[in-house]
Amino acid sequence: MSDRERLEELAALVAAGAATADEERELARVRAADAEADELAAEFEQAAALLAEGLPRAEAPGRVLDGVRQRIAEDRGKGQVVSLAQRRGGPARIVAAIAVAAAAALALLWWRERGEAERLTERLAEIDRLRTAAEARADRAAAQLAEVENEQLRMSGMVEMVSAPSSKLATVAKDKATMKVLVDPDRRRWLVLAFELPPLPPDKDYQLWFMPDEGNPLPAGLLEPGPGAAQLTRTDLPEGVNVTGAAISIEPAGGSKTPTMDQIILAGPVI
Amino acid sequence: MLAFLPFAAFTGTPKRAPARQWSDAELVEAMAQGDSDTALEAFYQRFGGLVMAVAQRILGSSAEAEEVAQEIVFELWRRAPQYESGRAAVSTWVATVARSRCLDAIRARNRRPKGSASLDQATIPPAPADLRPDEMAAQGQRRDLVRAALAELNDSQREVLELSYFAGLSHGEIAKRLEVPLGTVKSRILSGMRTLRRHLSDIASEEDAR
Repeated sequence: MSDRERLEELAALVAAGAATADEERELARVRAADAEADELAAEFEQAAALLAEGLPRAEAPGRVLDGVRQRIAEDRGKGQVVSLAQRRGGPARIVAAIAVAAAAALALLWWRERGEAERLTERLAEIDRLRTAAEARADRAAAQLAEVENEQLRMSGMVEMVSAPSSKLATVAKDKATMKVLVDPDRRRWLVLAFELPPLPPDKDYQLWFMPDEGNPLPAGLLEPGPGAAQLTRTDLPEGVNVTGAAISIEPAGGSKTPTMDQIILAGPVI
Repeated sequence: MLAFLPFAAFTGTPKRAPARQWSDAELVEAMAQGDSDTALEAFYQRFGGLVMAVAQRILGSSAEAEEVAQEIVFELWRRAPQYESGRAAVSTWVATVARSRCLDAIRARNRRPKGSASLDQATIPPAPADLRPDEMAAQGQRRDLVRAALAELNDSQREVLELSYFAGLSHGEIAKRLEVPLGTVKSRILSGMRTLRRHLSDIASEEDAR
């Protein structure tokens, strides 16, 4: 079988959901290294999606959307992330809207006095386009500000952990993958950095697990891209559980409640 | 007279097209910007049926499908900022996430998927009543192209693709279930997927024309 045929077979198997974990990892490595292979695999993913699109459409109940909106509202209410929607009513935008409306009203009176109604209509349309562009810029600026604020909160928490006198560093390694865990026993918190993890397809995530001295592994959050291609997360230890180790596994996007045992790629003691 | 002029002048002001006329990528972009009202509703109207269809097909129970559908739509909302329009069509993204979460739900509940709807043979029901005629026509054209693609699969290709895509079986598990060689299963999957892939350009052209 030629390389091309092998690639097509892998891409087809993975897209159809029939591949083994090793085959999925093999394709992920090839996709990361070869743009043409990545494009081919994406085409097979689109082809596979036709299987879903060919199903008879089902009714989409309104209560599902209501439930989603409720979760979004809860997420916004408790999270550190500042939603753009919370910024939409900002004072700067209101002042800008009033200023533009005032300018439009004055221009309207002046042009009307001069008897040039057609030019005025064109001018109003132009002002509306400028307003839309200004709103878009304001939204982008608000988004950037929210990102900076969130990053600042995240980094200040990490500095606290690193500088705590009781913090300890543990290393878990296998093959080329490495995980370093900074343990802050006073705050019962971990800062985890994982290196040299191969890239994953869009429907997979790396998930961290707490390994207690008794009982099953407990979910500890998903790893996010960090500096220098490392994966990073900060997580609080669960109450009433003596956690002695950590593990990382490959899970479906969004994570799982229990680890997929044959997808654990790193595991070891931390304390 | 002058007092009424501002109101009269603004009646001709051009407004942004309603969300239902946005492209799929524009809807996702608006969701990424935090629009949980207009954009999310339009997105759900457009793709909610697909999400529910996949959930019902894999999970078999309408009640469970609704529960998982809510998780799926919430995840799509959460991941909207990471969606890249150049990598995959929105429908591909939605179908991929929906399928993945439904199979997770199956594994978490540790049982086999149910459901008997097969690929494309069942009658495709009419579009929801609140779509305009031009929207219904556009969706109908795409559905015709998708059906044409699926109709080219032979029975053996269809069988293995149903078992892998909707039941989450690996090629080894399929070979064991159907009692055929592993190479045969792989070959059927590859040939079936190649058949579907050949039709992608027709479907993409129809979307570009819209």
